[in-house]
Amino acid sequence: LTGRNGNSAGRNGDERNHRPAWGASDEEMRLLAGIDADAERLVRGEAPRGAEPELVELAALMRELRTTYALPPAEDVGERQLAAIIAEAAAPSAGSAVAVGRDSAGAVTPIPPARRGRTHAFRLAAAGLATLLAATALAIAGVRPPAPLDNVLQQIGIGGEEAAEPAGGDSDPPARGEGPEAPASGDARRDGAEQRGGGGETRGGDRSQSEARGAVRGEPGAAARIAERPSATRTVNSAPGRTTADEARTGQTPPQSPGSSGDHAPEATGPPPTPGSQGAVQGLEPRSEGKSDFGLGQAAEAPDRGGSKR
Amino acid sequence: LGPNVQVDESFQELLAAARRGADSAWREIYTELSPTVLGYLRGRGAAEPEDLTGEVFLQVVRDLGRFEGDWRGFRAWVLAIAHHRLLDEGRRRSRRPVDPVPEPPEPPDREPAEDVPVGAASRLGLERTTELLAGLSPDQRSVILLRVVADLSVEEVGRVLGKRPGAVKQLQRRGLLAIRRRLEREGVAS
Repeated sequence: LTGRNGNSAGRNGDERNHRPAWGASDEEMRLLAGIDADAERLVRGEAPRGAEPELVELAALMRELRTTYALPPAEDVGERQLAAIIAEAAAPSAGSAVAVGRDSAGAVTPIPPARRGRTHAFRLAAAGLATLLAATALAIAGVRPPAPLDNVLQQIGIGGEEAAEPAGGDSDPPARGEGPEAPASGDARRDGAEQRGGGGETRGGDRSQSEARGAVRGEPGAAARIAERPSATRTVNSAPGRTTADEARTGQTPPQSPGSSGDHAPEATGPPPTPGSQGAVQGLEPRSEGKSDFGLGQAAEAPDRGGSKR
Repeated sequence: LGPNVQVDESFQELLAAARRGADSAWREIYTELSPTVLGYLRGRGAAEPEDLTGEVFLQVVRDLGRFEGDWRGFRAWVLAIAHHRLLDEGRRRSRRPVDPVPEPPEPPDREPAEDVPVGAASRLGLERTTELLAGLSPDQRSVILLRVVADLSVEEVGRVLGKRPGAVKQLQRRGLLAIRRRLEREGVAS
């Protein structure tokens, strides 16, 4: 059998018959000739009949390969991976969000369902807070929100008729920042403080309208109070004799009343606002430190807590 | 392989249960196939074969809706996913091009099967097996591992690797010859 290049497997030593470049010997060529049948036996770990010792060894190696490489993962690894697989399979549909992450050792591990629920709760809370802040921003800008949203905001004490009112020059954009409008904010703040002090357990519409008005005017503290509206019910149970954040910043202490909010006291430790030039948004800064149940800080962190792999 | 899943009818039931997300079905699939997948990835020199095995099965879960076939086809399909995952990992590591040397598996803590003769193979040992595998080209190593460890046919190996059966046979031949030459050089006594 002569190949195209004149190779011959049977004529050893004939210089006219070149061996392949990869260095096959005659024995190898013989092996090649019958290898298709023998290879099947070899990969099954069986040596061909009458095979050379090397082929017997090769067959033994194949058996060794099969028994030593096809081993299951370590038990703890297997259980962890199986848990991740089952969690993934239990997802509503294939290709949905993967409820797996990596643990501290970097291994694939499922996120417990309870933690996933928490992640969803954080997302919902973040969405709600974002809506609230957007509405507040609209109120500050003097834009009346759509009727359904307006109704909702009125129910929770934000916006309403007064928010939609231009309120004269107070609602002009410069009023939020600097210039001659700034004192107006101070007046509004005092108004709000007086109302809180005089009204005792003031809550709901009057207070909301006052704060909304302050927000429209660009009063820093008003916006903060509006942002704190979800927790406003706590003022009913707050201890008397505590100052509000704005009061602590400005140094004004209104007449003490049962309605004074003690929950705001920690905010007084924050940096003092820059007089006049600070807009209402700055009043929200202490909120971003995660002092409330779903403050901005927590909401911002919420998406990262899932640790979702995909 | 488990006797239950070798019967195609049983496998179709298993497949349907797995698609419904049944824990028991996935446990059986993982138990049956994880040693093979891990063995292949380990033999091919994956950096973290166990982690990669987990990722392979997660991919299997996600893509199961697209699979149709019998048990053997399913095995080949899972190993094709493993192979592609391995290639992905290789691309990620390509910034540091190092020829992957198979990591020797941990010595088995179970007794060897009774039908496995104790002889020259035992003398070779795990490290020797690994060393011999490392002497093959990546394609040769894939073919040998898929044929021996995964027990796939030439055609199935071709589907996993995206090669024609003739090419697979050629790689198989050359891989076996390379190992044989190595054994001859080192004078392994029978």
